[in-house]
Amino acid sequence: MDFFLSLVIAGACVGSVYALVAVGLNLTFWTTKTLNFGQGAVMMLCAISTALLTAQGISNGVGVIAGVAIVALVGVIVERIAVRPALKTAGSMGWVIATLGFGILLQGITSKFFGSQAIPFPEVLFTVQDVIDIGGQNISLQYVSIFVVSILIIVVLEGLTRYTVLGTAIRGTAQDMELAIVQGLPVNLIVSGSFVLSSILAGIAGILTAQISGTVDPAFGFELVLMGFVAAVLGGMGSSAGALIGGIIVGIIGKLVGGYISTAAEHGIAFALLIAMLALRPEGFFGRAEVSKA
Amino acid sequence: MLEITDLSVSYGAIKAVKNFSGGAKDGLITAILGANGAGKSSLLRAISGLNLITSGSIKLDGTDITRLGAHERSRLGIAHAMEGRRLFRHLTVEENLRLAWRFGTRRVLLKPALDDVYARFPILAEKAKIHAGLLSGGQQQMMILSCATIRSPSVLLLDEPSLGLAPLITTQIYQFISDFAKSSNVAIMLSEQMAAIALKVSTDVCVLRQGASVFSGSKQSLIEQGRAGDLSSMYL
Amino acid sequence: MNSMRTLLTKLATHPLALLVLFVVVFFGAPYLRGATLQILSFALVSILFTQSINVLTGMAGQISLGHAAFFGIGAYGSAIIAKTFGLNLFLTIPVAAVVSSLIAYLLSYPAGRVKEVYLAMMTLGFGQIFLEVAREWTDLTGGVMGLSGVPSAGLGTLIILGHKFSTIDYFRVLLLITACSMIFIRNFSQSRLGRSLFVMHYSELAAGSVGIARRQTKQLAYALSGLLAGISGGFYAHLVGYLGPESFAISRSIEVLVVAIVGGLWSSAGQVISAIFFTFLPEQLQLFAEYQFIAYGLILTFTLILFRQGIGGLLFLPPRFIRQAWLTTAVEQQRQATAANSQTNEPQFLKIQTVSADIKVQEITMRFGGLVALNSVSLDIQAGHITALVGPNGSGKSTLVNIIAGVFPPTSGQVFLQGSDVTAQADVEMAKKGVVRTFQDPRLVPHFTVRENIMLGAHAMMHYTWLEAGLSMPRVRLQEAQALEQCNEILQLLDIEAVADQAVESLPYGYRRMTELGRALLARPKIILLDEPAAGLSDVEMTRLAEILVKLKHLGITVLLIEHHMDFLTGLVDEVVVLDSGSIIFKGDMLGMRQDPKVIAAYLGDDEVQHA
Repeated sequence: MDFFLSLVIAGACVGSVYALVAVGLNLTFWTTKTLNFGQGAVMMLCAISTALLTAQGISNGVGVIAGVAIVALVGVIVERIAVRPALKTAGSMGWVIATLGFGILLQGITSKFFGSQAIPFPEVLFTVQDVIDIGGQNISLQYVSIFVVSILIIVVLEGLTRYTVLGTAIRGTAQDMELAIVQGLPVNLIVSGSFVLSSILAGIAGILTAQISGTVDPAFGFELVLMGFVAAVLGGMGSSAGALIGGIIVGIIGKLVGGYISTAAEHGIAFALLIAMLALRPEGFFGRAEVSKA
Repeated sequence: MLEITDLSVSYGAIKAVKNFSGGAKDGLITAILGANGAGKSSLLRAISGLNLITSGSIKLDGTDITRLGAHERSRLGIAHAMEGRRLFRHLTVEENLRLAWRFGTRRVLLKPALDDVYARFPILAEKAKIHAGLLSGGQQQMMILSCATIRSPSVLLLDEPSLGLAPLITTQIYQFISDFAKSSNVAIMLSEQMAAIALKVSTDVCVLRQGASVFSGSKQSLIEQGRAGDLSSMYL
Repeated sequence: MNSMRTLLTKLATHPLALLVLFVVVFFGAPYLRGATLQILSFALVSILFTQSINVLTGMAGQISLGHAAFFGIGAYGSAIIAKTFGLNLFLTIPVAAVVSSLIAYLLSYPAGRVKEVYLAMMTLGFGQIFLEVAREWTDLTGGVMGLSGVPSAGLGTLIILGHKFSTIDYFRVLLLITACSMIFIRNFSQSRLGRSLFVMHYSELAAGSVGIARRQTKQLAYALSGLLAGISGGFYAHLVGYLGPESFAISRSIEVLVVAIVGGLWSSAGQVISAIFFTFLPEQLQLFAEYQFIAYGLILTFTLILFRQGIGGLLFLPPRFIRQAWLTTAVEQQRQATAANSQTNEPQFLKIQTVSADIKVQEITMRFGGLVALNSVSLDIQAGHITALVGPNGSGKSTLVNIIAGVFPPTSGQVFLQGSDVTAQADVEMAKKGVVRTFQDPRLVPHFTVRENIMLGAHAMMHYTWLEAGLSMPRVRLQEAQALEQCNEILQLLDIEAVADQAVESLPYGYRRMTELGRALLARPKIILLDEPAAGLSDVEMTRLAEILVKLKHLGITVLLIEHHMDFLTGLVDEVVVLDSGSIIFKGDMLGMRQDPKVIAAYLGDDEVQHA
């Protein structure tokens, strides 16, 4: 029972990070019906920047902020040079390949200039030794902290989209872009903004994950973004609540399978879930089924 | 004031609007009539900037806006209620109104503007927190018109405001449009398939047929020339 | 520039030139250094693997970000069977390839139902699953340590029927298989099945409208792609002699995408060059190896945006999807036949031999959520007549046509075709029964010629299989030739023979309309449903269209058209039906319609305006 509980808690914690990634993916899916298939590289870039800067002696806090700022900029760039032109000229799937390519480009550049070895990631939030007692279990504070941070960010984001004008404008743009244009909404800004926000969320997710694993290398992030996909699809593309629940479900199931069957299957089961969900109910648990009049 | 000179709009090879000239005067209503496929929506979309103009020009209060994008035209005060009762279905009525106000010209403060809308259409006040997609057709149209007017526009473009609405609601809506024209001095151009109701409130009329203008002038002259009865042949 | 392309294309497609190339490489193999021979072998494997992407992504437009999985199934499959059962690669590779094909076929079930972005995710996930399985199923695959001892020519362990295969022997076998595969694929792409793969990408509705079965077409694309990937994987295994799971990670999937995209998504010739280039480059250019990721990243990010056509588009003429030799013969024969007959140019094969078809629509109601689009509509569409469906926006005209065509079933009510109930029939079935339609905006394959687009209409009339197509059996030539002759008759009817072999994307709108009409006609309709056929046509083109519709009527074909253009309909239609808000408000002739008070009210509002 203890083992089960520890797995569930660990699963919920990593799941919340998946949810964070998923919420980020949702943002751009809302505004442009696209998402960054190279998001993993964005996560990696943020984590590696933070790691490298702190290794130079810069404080953790500043390092994190710098890392996040860097990927925010990357968000603007990827929308401008990969997504927007691809949507215009490269057919319905060009953007998938263009964003995938951009991620590979980032990874390649990072490898080239910083080597492909794993570098240690500083302990930004607590240390490995810090534990807290929950229901008789010793749970790593690092795990708990990533859970808290993720949930906090998602809740804040939800609040922003619901209660601010900008948030309303984003939701409007997502529903009917032409209407948004004709009503004078700054659609270009909103689209750029959604990519910036998406990258920031990915970057934070990268930092939180690197926190747990302790190291980061240029190939970091690929599996994490896939987990984000699974969470988003399970919950229903476009739904924040869905992303949260989807992420936690994926996290928990993954850890349970990992604990009871095989650690390697931890991610594999998530992909199987992805395929099953897409086959049976593509709109996920909370998404809206798309009805067309043909 | 809106002045359109020799406007042509094409989608690829489809000539949706051919050499249209016309406009709308401050405080008055111009009706654009015609059957479906005549080019009414294409014309309005070209004015608000959603469609590309192939040739010709558009002037807003003397300024040539032909080269401007939809966003800029919106900022200059062109409000367009598109065909098909377009609204943000998953936003509440109040959110729709706030958004429209926020990105309009904001000549009036939000609170008084909202109060105005709710006074005019009490049902909207009742449904303020309800998702716009759940309203009835008539209520939606009231909201859409209010979103257009709350922007304090200089020009108002209305695409088939009566589409799919019961006669009683249509009358209510047209009363609102007529009152608004007088009180705000905004230039209004509205398109309608249903000629009768549009003719009641308008001073100028253009009839389109397959993209071309088959009548353009004041309502007076339409009646005087005895061509009011001809309308059906202009359509059919 | 174009003359260079023409020359290169002639070289690349001329049987003699290709034979010479083959012979030179085949017999020149012993004179190459061992290292070069090995790289060439890898290049051949890459060519084969890229062809699997050519079929699935290039032709059918289905993105795959995890194709390394199929490559891996072929590789591990062949290696494991060889090691376990001691069978030689001529048995193990086909078996492994069939397994790969089967799994691809199964994947097509979920994959065929989702939209692009989900497909991309699904294939990514699938690729990852394969990688995990390869890593973890140690008993079968050797796990992370890998599978060694795979019979390989390079290691001298490849012994088939007593003969020890040298690297030269292996290369020759691989060369032969690759050459045969390329020929197979070219034959396939120039057959009805190859063409149908393309239309699936651009418009599934258009495919259904001429009887192309959507699910089966996607399944075929996946299965064939899986087969090719499996074969290439198998040859890879016996080339390297050792398999490690990391060879089948995402980088492999990305690499093959890069090769395909740089080569040009549906250009086999371009892909061959690209595959050879990318195989040699890391070997020759140490610099490239260092910058490989960056290069791949740049290529993937910008090629589709800036350099869509790839090497294929640069060096060669656009590939064609009709066998040139058959085309020339068919056109000749058709022209001679027409001259001999000196009939009016009404394609006799379109003539309704038995009885013209009528359609009866009985109390059709259609609800979309809360909206009632059609309200208990009943209508008799007379056989052999031209009937127009008109009405204000939102009256339900398109909905009615969609229901008749089988795009979706009505909420209630029935549709009868010549007396039999066809209410539940889907669009593909209706097309086969002779109910064909066109669309409001022409849905064509943009880079196909007019002729190739029209040939899509003949898909359901031809019956040869994909295997027969690839092997170019006599049956294929016969059926294609007949379709080509009929296609030419239609081109003459529509007066577009002059542009028959130009890509539709380069032609003005009027031609595209005619092309879509031609496609519908080649499907031998008993009833043709036209959605706003006059929209966007010039006066001259409209007159032409009207003449054609009258000719169709003479041939016994029933015509139903949705139109707004009243002048076009005058003098053309036998009957006009007016819909308003989901109900029929008038049935009769054009003159009566113009004067009918209900119709006038529907369009103009109440008749107060008459007395204004």
